[in-house]
Amino acid sequence: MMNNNQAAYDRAITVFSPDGRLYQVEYAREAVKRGTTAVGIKCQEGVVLIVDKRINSRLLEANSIEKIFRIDEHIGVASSGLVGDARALVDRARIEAQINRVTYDEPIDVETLSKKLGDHMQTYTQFGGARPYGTALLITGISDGQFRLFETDPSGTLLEYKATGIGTGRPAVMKLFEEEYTFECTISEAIALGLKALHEATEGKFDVNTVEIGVITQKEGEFRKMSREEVASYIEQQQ
Amino acid sequence: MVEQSDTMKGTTTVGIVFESGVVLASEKRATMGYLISNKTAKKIYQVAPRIGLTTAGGVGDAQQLARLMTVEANLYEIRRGKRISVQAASTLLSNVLHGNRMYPFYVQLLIGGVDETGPVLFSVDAVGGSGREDGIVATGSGSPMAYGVLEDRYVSGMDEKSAVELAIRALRSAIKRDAGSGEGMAVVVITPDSYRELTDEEISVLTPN
Repeated sequence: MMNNNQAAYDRAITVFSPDGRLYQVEYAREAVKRGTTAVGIKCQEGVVLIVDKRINSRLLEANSIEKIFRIDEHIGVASSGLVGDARALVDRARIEAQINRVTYDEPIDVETLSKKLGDHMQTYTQFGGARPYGTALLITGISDGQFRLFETDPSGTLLEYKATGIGTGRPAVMKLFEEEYTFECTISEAIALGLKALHEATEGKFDVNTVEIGVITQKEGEFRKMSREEVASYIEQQQ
Repeated sequence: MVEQSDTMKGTTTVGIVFESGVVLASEKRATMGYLISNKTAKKIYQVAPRIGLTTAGGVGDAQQLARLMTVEANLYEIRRGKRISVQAASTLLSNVLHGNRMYPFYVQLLIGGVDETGPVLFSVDAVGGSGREDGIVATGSGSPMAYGVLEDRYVSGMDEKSAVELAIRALRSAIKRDAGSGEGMAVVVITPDSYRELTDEEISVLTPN
């Protein structure tokens, strides 16, 4: 039964409750909290995104699950929460990246793209007839020679991190990063730290089938998803 | 079809890339048929801290585009925390012009300045065709006379003083032989550190007799 206190403040149209909360937005954040864990780590050599795909049936084709997406040559995102919502945001991000190229003949800044996505997500917390996105994104890439790592959530909040995590494992991941993160490390060391975080977040339940890694380095200058072989070699080193 | 003659009814504008910046220059005559309608017409607009836009063609169209580009440059800077590049500004300008292809702005433009990549200069036509200019460019009815001088005297990598003198010399020829060009000159020098419009005194000192 609905608690009398919050009655009618959690319906389709987002309306403030008397104590200043937006229940629909909070429920959407809850969808993210129940999502799979994704981490992002910045270091001096580049940025890495690692996600756990949480595969719970041997019948599932693991490579049909996609939670890291390349947006443009220099930008990639990782998602947590509703995958369908993430795909809609990813498509929008890809279009915004290309619009910037057509309009200005320049690759879009990671910050500009992140703000555009945040602004878009915010509109779904204010206008009627739609629900907020049940997704958080880690948006990473390189702009003007700088590596960037942004996090968006369903409210449209945009924060930049040195290292962060979203989804179920966020508390465990953040605890580990608070203790062990350093900017002065190689990309391999960043990946190792990310896998360690994921290991803690999933209580060791991950392998080459369930881990996806996306990376952009100074040397390569382009965002790419790692091949299964590469992922396997990093996981091997981990164990 | 926009005939070239439609967009070149008067005016001479000149753009020169020099060693560390860009010179933009124009004369000040505006005409309506055989009437000189204005003797102090403004044909060079500062659309960003280090970007200038020279205009030839319809005055109202040119002014509208200059206002639009100024606003877009401001928005770009405040939204993104960095100045718009000349390349980005010229691409945006091309898009606006091409978007109005069926009801075009009657203009022939030069957009140039200095950004992180150094001095950059583009010419842009009425329907958005744009091209980067590495050295010299001239537009308007006086451009053939201006080009004669520019082609003769331009040297790649010339310094600021020589570039300003060359722009003035090219305009002077156009003013002398083109009925659509005349009155005074406006000369703008853009370097990494400044956007500066020369005073009439500075120009007259540099003008050959």
